[in-house]
Amino acid sequence: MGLLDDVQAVPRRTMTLFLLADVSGSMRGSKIGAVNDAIRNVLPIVNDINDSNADAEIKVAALTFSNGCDWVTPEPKIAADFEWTDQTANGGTDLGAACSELASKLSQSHGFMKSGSGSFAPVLILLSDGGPTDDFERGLSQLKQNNWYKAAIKIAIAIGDDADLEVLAKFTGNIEMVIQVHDVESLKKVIKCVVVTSSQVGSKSSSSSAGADAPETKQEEVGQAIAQQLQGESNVQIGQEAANVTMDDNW
Amino acid sequence: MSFFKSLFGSKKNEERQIEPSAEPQVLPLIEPSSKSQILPTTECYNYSCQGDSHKATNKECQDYSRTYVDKEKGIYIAVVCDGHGGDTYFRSAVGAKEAADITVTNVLELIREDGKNLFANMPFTQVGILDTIAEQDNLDISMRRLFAKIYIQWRNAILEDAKRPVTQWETENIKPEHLQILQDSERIVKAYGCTLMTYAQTPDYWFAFHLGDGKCVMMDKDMQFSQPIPWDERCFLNKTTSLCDSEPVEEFRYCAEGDGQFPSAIFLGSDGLDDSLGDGDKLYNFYGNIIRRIKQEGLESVIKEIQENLPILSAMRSKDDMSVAFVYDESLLDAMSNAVECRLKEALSKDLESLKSSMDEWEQKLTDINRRIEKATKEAKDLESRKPAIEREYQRVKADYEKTLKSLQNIVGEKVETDS
Repeated sequence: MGLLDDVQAVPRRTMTLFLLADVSGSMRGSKIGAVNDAIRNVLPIVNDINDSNADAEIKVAALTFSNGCDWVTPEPKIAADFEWTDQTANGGTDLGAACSELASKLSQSHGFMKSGSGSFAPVLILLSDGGPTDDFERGLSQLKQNNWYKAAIKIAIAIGDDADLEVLAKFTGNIEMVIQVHDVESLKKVIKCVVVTSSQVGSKSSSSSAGADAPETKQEEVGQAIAQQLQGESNVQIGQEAANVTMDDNW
Repeated sequence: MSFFKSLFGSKKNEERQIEPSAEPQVLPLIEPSSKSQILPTTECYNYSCQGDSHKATNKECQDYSRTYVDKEKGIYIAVVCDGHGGDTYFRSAVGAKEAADITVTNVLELIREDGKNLFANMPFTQVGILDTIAEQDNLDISMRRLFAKIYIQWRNAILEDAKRPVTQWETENIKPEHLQILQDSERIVKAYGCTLMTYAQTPDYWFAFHLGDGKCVMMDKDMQFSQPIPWDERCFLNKTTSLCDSEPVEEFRYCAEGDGQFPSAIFLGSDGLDDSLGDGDKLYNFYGNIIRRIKQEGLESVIKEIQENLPILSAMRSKDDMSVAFVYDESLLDAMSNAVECRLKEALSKDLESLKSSMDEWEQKLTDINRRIEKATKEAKDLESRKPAIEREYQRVKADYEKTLKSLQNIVGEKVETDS
C-alpha cells in the first residue's frame, strides 16, 4: 500500500456557477427569448471547459425570480446534464426573495455546497432588467453574511435602460462588475462572454491574502478579462460608463 | 486597543519601542530536562516541494518548512509556512523562510524563559479567534507576546530584505505596479505575505499555534485523528489570514497541554495538501499511511516516498506548493499503525457495506428486469403460438369480407344500370 492509494478516489474540486435570471413581466418578448437562447447555447461550452479541466468540476444551478423564485433543477448539475427549460416572463421582480433563497443554498450543511477544501469560490451571475419589487435589502443583508457569497465572483448583467444599476452594484459589491446591454444580440454575446470567462477563471487554482486591501482577486481578474473581450461593443457599457452615460435601448 | 498595540504602543512607534528585542536572538541555551529520557524516541521530518502550477511559470516554491531537534533536551519543533501565490506576494518565499526561522528562535526562547512554569499541569487548552480570554490570563499574554515578537522580527527582516535590488526574474515577471510596493513602507509586507503553523514539544509540555490556512492534524494518545488548533472561519476557499495582515498578532489561534499527555503524532500540512485531499478522512488516511509505511519500511524509505509523491499529488490535484512536517513518538509506532489499520479496515468495511447494499439494490433491479423479460418472453411465445390460428381466422374473415364487398358492389352496379 502506497502513500497515494486513496488519492485516485478524491474527486476534483467543485466550482458552482449560479445563474440568477429575472423572469418578471418586463422581460417579456425579445429579452426573455435572448436569455433562453443564450443560456441554452452556452451550456455546451461550459461542459467543454468542465471536461478539459483536471482541477475542477463545474456545476450549474439556475434560480429564476418573478413573484417568488424557483430553482430550475433541484440541485446543481454538470452542464451536460443540466436542462434549461425555456422561461416565460410575468409577475414582479422579487430579487430580495432570490437573494434569501440563494443565501440558504450557499451552505455546506443544508445547501448546495461542499466543504471549503473541496471547492472553488462559486460564480454568481445576476441578470435583471428592472428594480426589485420586494424587500431587496433584507435579502441582500442575509446574503452578505454568507462566506460563500463573500468569496464568490459576482457579476450582474443589466438588461436595458430600466435596470436598477445601483441595486445590481450592491449585489456585485462593485459597479465595475455590472455590464449593461441595450439590444438582443449584445445580451446574447454578453451572457456567453460572462459565463465562459467566469467559468474559466473561477475553476483554476490560486491563493491570496484576506486583507481588505488585497489587490488581486478572481473577481477583478474576471472583470478585466470581460472588459477586454467586450471592448468596442457598441451596445454594451461596463461599470461606471453604464452609470454615467445613457444609451438608447433597441429591443 | 489590540493586544499588539497595548504591548508595543501605536503602529507608528512600534519599531522604536520594541528595538531591544526586535533582532532575532541567538538560539538560547536550554537546561536538559529531568524528564528528557521520557521521550527519547521522538522523530520528526519536514519537506516542501514546488507546486505543479509554479513549475510551468518557473516560480520558486513559496512554501517553507523546517524542524528543530534537540534530542538531548527532548525539544522538537516543526514549522510550516505557506507564502501567498498571487503576483502581489512576489517575495512570499522569503517571507515564509524568515517566518519559519524567526519562529524557531522565539519558540526556543519561550521554552527557555518560562515555558515550564507557563504550561505546568495545564490540561489540554484551545484558544480560538473568537474565544474570550480573561485580561490577565498568563497563557494568552505569553502566547500573544510570542506572536508579537515573531511578527516584529519578521517585519524587520522584511524591511531589511526589501532594500535589496529587484531581481531579473521579478523585473521580467512582476508588473511594475506590484513592484512599487517595495517603495511603500506601509504596504511592503504584502509582498512577503505568508501563513505560519508551528508545533513545539518538550519533555514536559507541548503547544501549537497557527495563523492562516493549511491544517494541523493530531493523532492523540487514543490514536484518534483530530485538529487540535481551533479553526478560523475567515480562512475560507482561497482567502487566508496572514502575517502580512494589519494586526496579525490577534489572528493567531493556539493550543497547549502540560499535564503529561502528548500527541502520538502531529502533522502540519500546507493548504496544497488539504486542497488535494480535503480536510477530513482522505487527509487523515494520507497521514495514517505515512505512519503505517514508517512502521513497515522505516522513516528513510518513507522520506523518499514523500519526496516522490508530493509533487505527483500536486500535479494530480491542487497544483499548489506542498509542505508537510511531522513529529511522532516512535515508541508508539506499533499502536499507531494498528490504529490506522483498524481505521482503514473500518472505513473499508463501511465502504464494502455501502457497496454491498448498492450491489444488492442493483442486483434486485436486474432480477426485476430479468423477471419482466422472462414474463414478456413467455407472453411473446404464447402470442407467437396463437398467431397462426389468428392468422387463419383473419384470412377467413378477410375472404368473407371481400366476398361480401363484391356482392354489395354487384348489387349497387345492377341498380345503377337499371336506373339509367
